[in-house]
Amino acid sequence: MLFLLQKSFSQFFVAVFVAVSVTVLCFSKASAQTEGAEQTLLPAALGIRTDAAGNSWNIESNGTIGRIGSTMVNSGLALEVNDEAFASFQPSMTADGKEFILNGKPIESLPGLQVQRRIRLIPGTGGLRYVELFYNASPERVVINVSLVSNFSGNYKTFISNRGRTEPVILQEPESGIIVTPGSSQSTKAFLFTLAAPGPVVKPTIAAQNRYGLTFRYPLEIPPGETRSVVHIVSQVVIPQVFDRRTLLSLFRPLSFSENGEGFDSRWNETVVNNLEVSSSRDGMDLKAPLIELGVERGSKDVLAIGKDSRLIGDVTGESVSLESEYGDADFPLARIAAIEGMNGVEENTARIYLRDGQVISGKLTLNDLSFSQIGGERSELRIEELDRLVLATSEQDAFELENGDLVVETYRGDRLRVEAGAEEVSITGRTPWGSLSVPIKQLLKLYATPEMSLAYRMEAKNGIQCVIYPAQDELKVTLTDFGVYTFQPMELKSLTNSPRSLEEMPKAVDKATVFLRGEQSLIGQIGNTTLPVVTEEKVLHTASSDIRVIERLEGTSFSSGGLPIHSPLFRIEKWDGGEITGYLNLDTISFNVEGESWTIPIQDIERVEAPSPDLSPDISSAIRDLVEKLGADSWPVREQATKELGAFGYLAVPFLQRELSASTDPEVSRRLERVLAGLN
Amino acid sequence: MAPFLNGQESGSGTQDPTKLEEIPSRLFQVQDQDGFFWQAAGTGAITSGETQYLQSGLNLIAAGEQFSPGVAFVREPGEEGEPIEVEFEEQRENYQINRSIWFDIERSAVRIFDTFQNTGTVTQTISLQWRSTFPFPWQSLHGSGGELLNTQPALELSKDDYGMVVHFSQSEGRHDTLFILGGERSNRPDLSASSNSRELSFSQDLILKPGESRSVLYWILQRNLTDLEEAGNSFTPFYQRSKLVVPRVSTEAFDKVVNFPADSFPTSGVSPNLRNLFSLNSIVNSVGLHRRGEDILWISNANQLACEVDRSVNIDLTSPTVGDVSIPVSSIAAIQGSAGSGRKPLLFLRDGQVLTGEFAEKGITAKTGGSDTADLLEFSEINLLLLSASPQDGDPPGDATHFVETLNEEVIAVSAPAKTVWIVTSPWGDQAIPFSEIEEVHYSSTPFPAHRVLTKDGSLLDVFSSTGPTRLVSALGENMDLNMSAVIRIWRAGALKRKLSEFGGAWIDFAEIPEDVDSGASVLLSGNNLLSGKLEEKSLSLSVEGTKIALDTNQIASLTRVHSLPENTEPDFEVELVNKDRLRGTITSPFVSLDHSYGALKIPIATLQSYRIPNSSP
Repeated sequence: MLFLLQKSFSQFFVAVFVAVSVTVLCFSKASAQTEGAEQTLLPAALGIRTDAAGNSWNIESNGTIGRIGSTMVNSGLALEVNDEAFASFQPSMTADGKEFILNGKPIESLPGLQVQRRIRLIPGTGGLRYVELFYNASPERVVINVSLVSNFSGNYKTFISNRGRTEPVILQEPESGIIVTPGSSQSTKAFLFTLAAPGPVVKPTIAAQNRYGLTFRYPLEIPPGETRSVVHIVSQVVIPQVFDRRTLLSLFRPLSFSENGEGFDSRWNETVVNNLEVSSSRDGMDLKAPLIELGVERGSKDVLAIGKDSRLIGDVTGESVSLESEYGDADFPLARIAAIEGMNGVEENTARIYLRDGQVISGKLTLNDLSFSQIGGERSELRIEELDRLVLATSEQDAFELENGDLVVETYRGDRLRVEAGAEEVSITGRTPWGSLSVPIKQLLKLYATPEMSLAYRMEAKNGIQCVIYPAQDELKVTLTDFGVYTFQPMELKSLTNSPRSLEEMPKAVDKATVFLRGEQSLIGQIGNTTLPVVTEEKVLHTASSDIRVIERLEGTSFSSGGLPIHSPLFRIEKWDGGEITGYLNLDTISFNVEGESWTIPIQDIERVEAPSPDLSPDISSAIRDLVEKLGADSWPVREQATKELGAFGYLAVPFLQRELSASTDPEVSRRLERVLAGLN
Repeated sequence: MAPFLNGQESGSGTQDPTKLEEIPSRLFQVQDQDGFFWQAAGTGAITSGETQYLQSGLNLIAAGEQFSPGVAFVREPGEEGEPIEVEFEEQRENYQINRSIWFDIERSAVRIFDTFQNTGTVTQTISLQWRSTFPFPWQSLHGSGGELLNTQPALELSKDDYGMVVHFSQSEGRHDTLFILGGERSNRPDLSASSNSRELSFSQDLILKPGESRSVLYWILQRNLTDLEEAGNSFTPFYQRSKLVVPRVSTEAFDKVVNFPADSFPTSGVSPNLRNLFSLNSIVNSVGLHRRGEDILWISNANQLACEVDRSVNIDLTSPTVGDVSIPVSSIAAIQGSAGSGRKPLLFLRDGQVLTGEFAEKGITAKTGGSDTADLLEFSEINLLLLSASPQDGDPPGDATHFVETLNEEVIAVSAPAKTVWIVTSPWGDQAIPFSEIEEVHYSSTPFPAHRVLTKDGSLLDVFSSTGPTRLVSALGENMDLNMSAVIRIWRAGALKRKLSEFGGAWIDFAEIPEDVDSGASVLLSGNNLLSGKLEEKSLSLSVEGTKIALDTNQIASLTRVHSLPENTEPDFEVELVNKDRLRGTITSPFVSLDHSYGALKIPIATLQSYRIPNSSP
């Protein structure tokens, strides 16, 4: 839940001079690890700001872009909610002056809606990034229209989407924004609006008003107590001479959401309606989804569906359905069947059977004495050749959940098949850029292809390993629950899903390091380098790996040495004793031991490393244990002194203290341990 | 006078200029790389085209009379790389005036080169004025370093200024106009400004003997300066360390230019292949430095020292990639030292190779600052030492077929025995890519780390490299076993451009593929993978509004996925047949098979974006 908007209405806006927690970064998961940087809000110094590209922006108190000189926008991106103009009070900004935070006055027609605009000058490419946040504090679900209204100082020439469509009224799935070109003599720059991420997200409609105005309108539905947000970017760019795909891509790419995540609170990710939720593709498999796609609502009666609109309600009787498939032949009693998709009179159509345990199997179907009778009507025999869709009533035998140990294979043919739970002998072997990995399929959480990765698979294991792999095996031999042993070619698999991760299976990673890598990947193992040379302020510090708690890549920071660019990424290294070093690693690769093999990982691929808790020497362990005992001493000064001294051990003491805390039965000791741990964290 | 002066390091153009006997009041408009418009008026003055920033720039008035050319030669915007230029000519009673205008689109500026020739029989003094007018008053006038110009007793440049900035208020959305006016040690024009801050004049008197000609060279730029201290950075692509950079002026004219000394012009003999030095270029471009005919010790942007490096010795080092090597200093283009930090030293060779490792010597000897004695420049101390450019720079080693760049920033020129293959894992399992088939490789981090491989047939695919060694022959004379997983780039020797870069947006159409990747008949898969080849199936089943049609794949000219609105998730394709018929439907098979050089590749339809057979005809 969004931190700021969880606060009560009054708390929400009393932020001036109050330190609030603003986390740094970004739309991506890996970089969302960093949280907690404290920033103070100051009264906003609104007015004209010049971005890195040299374009000036006149930001008004309600977040609207005012006219400057001869730029083509007269009044840009005025926010309206249900046609009511946004008005702010007490505009504030972050202490670094990079972001304005404009809290809205109450919307008359929607008293429970709290609105906040956050406007940030984009470093590098220039432009402004807006985050429009809407919190529904009312007990009712609200549906609103969010409009961003821009008026131009003269008639604009035209506007074109990033995919080259002229003057679209709604953006299509691959489209992310538009470029508005000025009429002659108006300006040297065009205005580029990034309005949504490419992909299946909420896209705005675009309404034009006689070539002097444009309104982008987003429909939002906000459940009570929840926040929804819209992100958008505006920039001034050189007017292209041609509008071919390549030119448009080069203009839009630097202004995509993914390239401009600086200062974006990772907790907003789940609220943004016009950006792809990063983690959405790795949710557990919804075994009901194929049934839902049949377009027939299941109920207490059987339904014979014909075409888009005709539905006959009744009862199906009969014995079973026989299936001849490439996995083998099987008979399914009617009680196991949730639906049947027939050939609908077309010889080439594929028939499919949908089972109540979520399996979907295509093949040649024979309906053994199946007949359908409408309520009060005659019974008629069902033939697979003519059948369109038959959806059977819900029943207690429906089992669309993956239980612990269940495994489902999904193929590119659209089939879903359950695999015998006792598949511990079968492993998936995949190649990564750094080495090969073999994971028993019962240790897998999920293996799935993602459209943006083409034919690569993302593999997630229960021990926390997440990798993009290419299969390094010619076949995968598994035992299917209804067909016995079957061999899949890797290319046939779309996904392989295990039962959802239970809390017990969550990796605890206390004895192994985790390295987070580009492409939202993570490996579990041990750092092979005994020391890491870190260059900071032109000095090389050789730091023992065992002293390092966390290595964190600092995104979006380009830096130099002696005025010349350094190609290595910048890292912040946190040590167990509380020390910090910011610099670059004077190495090309690090060595990382994964599953008994030493992998060589380029530094440029590393996002973050979390080291395991170090083993404490007997002396230190003994000292800590003594101090923990003193936490329960009769004397208050002794307890206080012990509390202070424990805190001085830094992160080193954390695992030990956590163990003591879970074992402690003395409330005084527990309270003091909690205090020490809170201070260390 | 022949139109269009030839310059060094810049093509003189292959198209003949067009002669205009009647000059229109305004010629063509061009837009530079920074987005600013330029247009030459019929009077030879420069304007900012249809935008209202520069009403009239460097409008020439000679002897009190407006320059009024009678003929013009024009080379209009056309092919990429062709210079865009205009030359105006006016014959007066006793002298001739030529104005050459070069629109330097790439560097975003216009070069004005005015030449005056005494065609009379007596010595003449010609008073010249170049007047620039703006539609709005400027805010302030600054020197080339960004400092405010003196206005008392008269507006003038400081002794170190070689140009000036006309600064407008950014809050009014108006950008700045910059001029390069003359070398610090030469005859720069006098300045004057109108009291309404809208007119700026440069003036100079020329004394010409009979038959003599003299020239004046100016640059004019439009820029958005966020900070006036950045002004210097705007000038450096054109003028740095008292030298002009690619002024496009013929060698014969150097000593006739009155506002720049002859030695501020670049010497000839610089290789046209400098663009091949990718690694070195990325460094010199980052500091805005231009290599030329002298050795330079670059300490910082503000401090550079001319020097003379001892070229009679070799530098010995042990490279992690190629082992022990001995490099003659004469074959070194630049050295990046550690600059007192832990940074590893890099040797940039003139042939494009880059080496690092353990150096046998501490440094290199050079005479600095005009001294007669040579000092040791220690690799651990120096920042960047640029050796003078030579005609051989950028010529790859003769036997090399490829350059290989490794993670440690080394670049090695290599050739490969005929049967050398690179073992990789692709979506279709392990593949052996013949090294000779590699066009380019780039280790990309997005969307996930992988080697992007472009092969000669135009296929472009993400692969994971095996960790085993690949035996190659280094141009430095040794066989080397290269761990290809440590390679971040490979490109062909002699390539002037590298085609592959970081993965950007997802390609959905062949139009988005880099221009110089020609894959012929091919499929475009999601994830920006491109595979050359034809569909193996004899027919493809397409469901069109409930009707199934079997299409002869030989009759398919293209298949393009239709990206529909979010609510419509059907995998629709638009099919164009050889006879130009078009159909839109759903491919019913879950896979197609491609006849590729790796073999028959099974491709899930879910990943297919487009398929095409170029130049297919009925």
